[in-house]
Amino acid sequence: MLEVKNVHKAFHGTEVLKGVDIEVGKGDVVVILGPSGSGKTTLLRCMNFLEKADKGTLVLDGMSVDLAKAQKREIREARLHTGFVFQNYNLFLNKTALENVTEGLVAGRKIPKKQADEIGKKALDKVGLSDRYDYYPQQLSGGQQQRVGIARAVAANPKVIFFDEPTSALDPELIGDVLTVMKKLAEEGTTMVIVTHEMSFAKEVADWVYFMDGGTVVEKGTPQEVLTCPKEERTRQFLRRVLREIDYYI
Amino acid sequence: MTERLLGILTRSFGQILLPGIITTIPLTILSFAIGMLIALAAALVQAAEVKGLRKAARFYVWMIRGTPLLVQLYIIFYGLPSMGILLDAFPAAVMAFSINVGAYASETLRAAILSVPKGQMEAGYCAGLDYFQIMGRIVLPQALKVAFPGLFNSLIGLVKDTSLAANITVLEMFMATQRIAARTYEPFALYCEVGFIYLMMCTVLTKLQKYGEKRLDKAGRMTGKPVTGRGGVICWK
Ligand SMILES: Nc1ncnc2c1ncn2[C@@H]1O[C@H](COP(=O)(O)OP(=O)(O)OP(=O)(O)O)[C@@H](O)[C@H]1O
Ligand SMILES: [Mg+2]
Repeated sequence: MLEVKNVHKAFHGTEVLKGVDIEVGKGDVVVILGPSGSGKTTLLRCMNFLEKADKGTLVLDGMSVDLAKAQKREIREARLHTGFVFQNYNLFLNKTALENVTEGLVAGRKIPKKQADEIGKKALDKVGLSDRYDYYPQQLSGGQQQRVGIARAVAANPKVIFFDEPTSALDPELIGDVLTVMKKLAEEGTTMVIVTHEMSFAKEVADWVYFMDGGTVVEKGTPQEVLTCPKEERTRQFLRRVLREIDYYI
Repeated sequence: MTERLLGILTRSFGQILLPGIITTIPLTILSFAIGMLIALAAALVQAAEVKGLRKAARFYVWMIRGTPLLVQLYIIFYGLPSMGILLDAFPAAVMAFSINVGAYASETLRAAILSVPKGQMEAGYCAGLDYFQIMGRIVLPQALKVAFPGLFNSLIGLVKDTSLAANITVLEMFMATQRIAARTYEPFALYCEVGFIYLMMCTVLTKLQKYGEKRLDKAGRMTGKPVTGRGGVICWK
């Protein structure tokens, strides 16, 4: 369904991605783990052309695009079939929750406003914000804002949705709501690629887990394989550290 | 105050206000409108980093901000004819003022556009919008709100700057006052009078600015009840 091959990316001569491959089947939930600076965000951004890769191919449902030399038209086409949920929400601050969701439908996809409003309301209902249609982002809590962000990504019914640490800017007590929504999406068969540090979420929801370090995929497999009995030493180290942090946390 | 002086002041009031209404105000409005278009274009090509045009816009701002407005007026009205471009006084003034106010306003606008968090641009692309849609629907509405006080500042400045047009034979409020002062030998009273009229015009604009800011403020946060979020209640009027 979605495949990226051999993604390379350097910033000012420093290689951040050194040939990454990811494969995502229809309805799969792929979780990408890895220490800070390992290139997870950069990978997602390259997959959605927010960052221009130096090399690599994206195959999305049969459409193949060169990540380094994509035409404007191809980029737009690919983006119409993907959604992106940002770490810091990036909601349109001059638009209400509903308008945030419908903007891409009305302006980007030329769906009539009335129909777009219906789709938008349905999307907001799904993320538990049926009483917040007319609120502006500044009137919403972080968790609510992120759920608007998810509704915005879901509304156009994309083939895949990318999540970049969707809960890491949130207060602990607000994380649950967002994860619940994501779990629901997973159950409905939404194809998702998620960068997160939420281990228990990964264990429960992921179909596949990728562990990245230093710009490469070190290990991939089922959550069972990667999280419970990792083969690679670097994965083990990372898990030990993260799980210890969780212990401290508790 | 003598009766004569009082008579001069009352009679001259209308004679000064009339050119104010038929010249100063149209000159201001026309120049500001054209200036805003120039400013928008200059700010956008810089924000979008359009290669050659960006440089041209920087050059324009540098030139205009670095030279006196009076010199710009003289070049356009007295200088251009020697190059075969002959303009009437009023259009020459409009041209000079719009080019001048455009340079200042473009900087206000550019800074305001930059103040809109870049992530919204990226989110716009991801939602399937193109550059112009994002600019028009997301970024500019927010930028204009930020730029509003600064742009009003330019407008208020322009009202008073139009008095310089007297130097290129535009019969506006100030020149009308000069003529009456020359006839009546009452410069102190008459120049105070015209100053007062400028002050009144700017007072009206200041009130308008306050009203506009209130409206814009409301437009950003209208409906709903207070929400408890991070750090307690997020308040608004
Ligand atoms: N725009 C940029 N310019 C220069 N260097 C960058 C840029 N973006 C990322 N980097 C560098 O690339 C490396 C990978 O960054 P990236 O944000 O992809 O890591 P990450 O895995 O998402 O980390 P985290 O878990 O902290 O979010 C880092 O060393 C970072 O400093
Ligand atoms: Mg990151």
